[in-house]
Amino acid sequence: MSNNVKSDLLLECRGIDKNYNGPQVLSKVDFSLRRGEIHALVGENGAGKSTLIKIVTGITNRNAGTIVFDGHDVPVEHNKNASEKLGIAVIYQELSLIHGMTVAQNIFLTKEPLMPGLPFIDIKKMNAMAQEMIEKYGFDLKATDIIDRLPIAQRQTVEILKALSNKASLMIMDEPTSSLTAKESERLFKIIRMLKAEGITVVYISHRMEEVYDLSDRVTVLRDGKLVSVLEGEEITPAEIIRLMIGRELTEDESHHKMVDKRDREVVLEVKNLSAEGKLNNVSFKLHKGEVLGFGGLVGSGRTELMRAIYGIDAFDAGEITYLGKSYSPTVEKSIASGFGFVPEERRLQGIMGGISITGNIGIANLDSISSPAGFVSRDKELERTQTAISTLNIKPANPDHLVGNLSGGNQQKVVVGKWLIRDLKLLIVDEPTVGVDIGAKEEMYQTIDRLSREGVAVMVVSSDLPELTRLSDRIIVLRKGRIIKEFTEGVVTEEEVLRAASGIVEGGAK
Amino acid sequence: MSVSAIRRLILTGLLIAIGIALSIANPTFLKLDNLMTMLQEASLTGIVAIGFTLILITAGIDMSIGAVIAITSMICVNFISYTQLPAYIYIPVALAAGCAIGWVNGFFITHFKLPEFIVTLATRGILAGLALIIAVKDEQGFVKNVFIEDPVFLSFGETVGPVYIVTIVFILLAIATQFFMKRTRAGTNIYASGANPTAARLSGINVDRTLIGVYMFSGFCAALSSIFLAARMMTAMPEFGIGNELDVIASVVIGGTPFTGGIGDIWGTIIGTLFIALIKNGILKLGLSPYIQPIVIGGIIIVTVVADVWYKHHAEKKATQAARRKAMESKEVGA
Amino acid sequence: MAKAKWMVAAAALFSLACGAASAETKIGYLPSTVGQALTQAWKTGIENTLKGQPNVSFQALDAQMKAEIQVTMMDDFINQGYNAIILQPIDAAALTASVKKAEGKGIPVITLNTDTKLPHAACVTMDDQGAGYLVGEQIGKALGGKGNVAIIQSPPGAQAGVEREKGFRAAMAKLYPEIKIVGAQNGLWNKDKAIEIMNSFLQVNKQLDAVFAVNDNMAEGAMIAAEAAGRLNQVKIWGFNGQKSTLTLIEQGKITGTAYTNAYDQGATAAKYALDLLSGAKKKGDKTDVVVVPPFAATKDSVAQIKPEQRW
Repeated sequence: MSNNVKSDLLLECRGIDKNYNGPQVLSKVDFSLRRGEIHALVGENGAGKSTLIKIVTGITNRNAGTIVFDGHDVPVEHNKNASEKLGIAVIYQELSLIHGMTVAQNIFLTKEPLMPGLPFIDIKKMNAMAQEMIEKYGFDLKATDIIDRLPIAQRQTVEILKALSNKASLMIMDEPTSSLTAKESERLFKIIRMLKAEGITVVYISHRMEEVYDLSDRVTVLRDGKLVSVLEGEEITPAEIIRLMIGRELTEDESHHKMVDKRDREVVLEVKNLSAEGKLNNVSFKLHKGEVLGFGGLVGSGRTELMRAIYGIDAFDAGEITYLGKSYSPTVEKSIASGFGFVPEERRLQGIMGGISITGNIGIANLDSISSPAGFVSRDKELERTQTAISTLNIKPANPDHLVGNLSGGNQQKVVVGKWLIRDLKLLIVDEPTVGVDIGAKEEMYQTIDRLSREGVAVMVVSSDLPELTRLSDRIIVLRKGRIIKEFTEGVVTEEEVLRAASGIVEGGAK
Repeated sequence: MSVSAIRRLILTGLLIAIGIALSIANPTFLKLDNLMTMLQEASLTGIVAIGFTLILITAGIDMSIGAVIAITSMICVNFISYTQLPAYIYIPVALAAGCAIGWVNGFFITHFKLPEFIVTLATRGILAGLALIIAVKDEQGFVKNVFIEDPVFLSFGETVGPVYIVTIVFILLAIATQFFMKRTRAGTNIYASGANPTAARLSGINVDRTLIGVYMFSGFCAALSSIFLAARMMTAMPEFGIGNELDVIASVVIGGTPFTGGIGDIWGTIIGTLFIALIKNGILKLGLSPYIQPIVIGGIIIVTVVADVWYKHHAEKKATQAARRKAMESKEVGA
Repeated sequence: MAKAKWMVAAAALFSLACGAASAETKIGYLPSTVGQALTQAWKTGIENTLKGQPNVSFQALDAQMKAEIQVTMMDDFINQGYNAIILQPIDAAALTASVKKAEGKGIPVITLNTDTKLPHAACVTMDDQGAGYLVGEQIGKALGGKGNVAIIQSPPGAQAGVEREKGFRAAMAKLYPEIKIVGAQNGLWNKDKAIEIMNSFLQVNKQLDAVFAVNDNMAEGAMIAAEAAGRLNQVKIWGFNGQKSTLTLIEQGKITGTAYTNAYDQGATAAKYALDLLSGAKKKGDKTDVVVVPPFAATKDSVAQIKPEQRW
């Protein structure tokens, strides 16, 4: 393969297989990059994008397949340092920058210019070199700025400069705009085009279809660990990309999961013009008794923030909340006492205490109802309630003394739900209910939510798993950049429709 | 202004104010002898604190410094009592032992991914016990604190003019270390490893080797201080240094090197060391109960740390508010 | 700017300090710790002696049982221009350099109980080894030359304690070879630690006939432990120093005896010595002038001979 004639391909991966001692994450994936192109890599969560990138950058090793980079075979035993030497750079959000150091120090970390013949860093020269690079690309930075005081967007440009100083010929950007403002994103796109003009290849990973559409020369679509298609030129349209990403035909079951209009029922919760600086913008909706209201949107669209504000974890700036007809200003204690339940997204961090038994975890949210007036906890009552939760939710093993940290992901989730279940639950908030849960446990979780809604509990579900969202919800609200951009109220809603809305491709929506 | 600059200004101001107050309260404070012995004491702590500063910059902690002082002094008296070897042989051996202990600390911390506190607390215990075991004993097995008469060794406790040698060494070591930290790649690597080890690794820094090096340096500094302490007291005791960790930690933390890593420098540590020495001397000069000394030092640590956190929180809040406002404005435009 | 001002102020104060050299005689007292009956008694003895003297001021500091702190405090006495220092060295070797430094500046140092390694003005000391031997004799006699005894020791390197123990062991070895020394542990001079150690002695040894604690505090600790174990009447407990509380316990029959030294007298002797040196009545010699304060075996029978004003 390696000959003197430079092919126009910078990177050529063929038949890449990867499994992490279990499920196949990538199977027979081909992926090639031309010199000086902007190439988007898209796919749903779990499609295998990050694994592919990790293999290319040597963070993990492939099980099979060949990789040729710039005419050189890349061995299976690839590693991060080797890939850097080849000229492959990953632009992390801010991961690889050192706080407390200047822009110049960060750019030249480990390769600082030294004084001639001495082991001492020539700081003047280093700053001058950095300033020269900054000016060449017209960035809004100073070489002597301290990283900590720069906004995220500027830190990203430092990352890019660092890669440039490494003479990178391939730059991989993973969701680079997820925390940038529109203006900042525009500037990043300009930089990316500049890099392209310099002959640098850029791999662009994003969920934002309009960006992909705007920027890319070519698009590789992955689905379930397999290569679906490579689009080029005219073929690249947001709608087509989404169609390819979702791909599968609707199954009987899914297509029959119609939404149910329950808006004639009693209003449990009403949110009016809720706003929180930088997070939420004028969000209004009503939630009804026995209704499952789904919230769709991209990561960072404000869904979790909305739930946290309603539950009383984070404060909001403006707007009002009415609960059961009365004005409600939430705090966590009040929410618990009023019959709210909250199953958070980061289960391990926020939902459970791993080193404590099932009984202990369930007891902690119910201390008020299991304590005597003097404040002593009744162990009998605690156990009784735990047994109820175990049997209704089918928690396995059914041993109240089992440490929650040792349970499977699905059962941990059930314990979190169980904390609230045994109370007089009126409103349940579930954020990403089945992340890290196996398929069997998923279905059980769905049935639990269904049952609760039949019993009259109002449920709000946040999910990035589109089949899950459409499967569970009676109504779906899609958020984008802190606003409600679309509401689906009736008929059959497809994943494609939700994703289009979330990406801003919507009648009357942005762009 | 940056937190460290403000702190340095305030501390320097306080140093001067306390100095003036003390010289008014007790005129002997300003006697050259007193200032020099105060500097001598400050230097003994300060040398250890230089090593400890680097440890804190890596976001670690070294609880073994006191015990290293004890064991190093015991190694010296063993050589003095049982061999005819000259000081220029056994002193380097003792310093090397300090480095070796640091290596062991660093190895366990990096290789087995153990918490720094646990590892160095364990070595502290082991070394403190070993110091008693290898201490020189008399015929009946009692620990005998050897009276050192080796003139070469004792010269470490002497002065050049009015200035103690230990003070000169402290200043030179401080300058060299500061220069090393700021002007060499290895120094930059230490800052990077402490600020963000993941990022440091991604940038191609061998973080483990860097940490081991820092623990070795800390061991070296403690051993060096031990030689000067033993020379000053003309003897070595198995309990030397043990329990003096508070002074060292206080000097470094007051000097503006936080426990969070990635930040700090030697200048701050020098000021912190002088500050502690001044407080200790001041308590004696004012005839106050020496028992309040640890209370005062502990109190100063809390005050400086709280002031830091408060200031940082304040600054961060302002910054995020500004950023959010900006973000919101452009989102409005983009949507 | 601030620095310049400070320099000016410093210079001004410096000249002030030099000009105001007082005619006052300052005497410093630096025991290993102030929290003990013995060091308190010394202090009283010293103070009573100095009280009548015109223009003499007196200052005591607490070295808190740490040699490093004691060295710092010695430096402070020296720098503050004290005229004489009465010192109980925590460690003979560790304080030698400080004593040498003081004497080098013309400040006589009078040590109490623990001598240092180089010559200095004087050492006013109990006869530790001799008194230890005396206790050995007494215990041996009482046990009839047979039985098990244990020792509660001083910290390693504490010369006075070590000397007492040496004297005691010498008496045992020489006079009563059949008495077995079944244990010896460091009680850190303190009562709490001694209780702990005595408990372990009592648990390990079914038969324990006598205990020698190298100071009274530890003897009192041993007594508390033995009493709690219900074995007080089976164990003879001997202390050392003869502090007031211990003498009372001897009268009550709870502690068997102690090697009594008149600590008031000892403190007074040291203070008098200092005054004599300063007035020129005494001249400093080439060697340390060792002044021995003789011990007295105080038991239930003999304790009455110690008058109330001699008790400390």
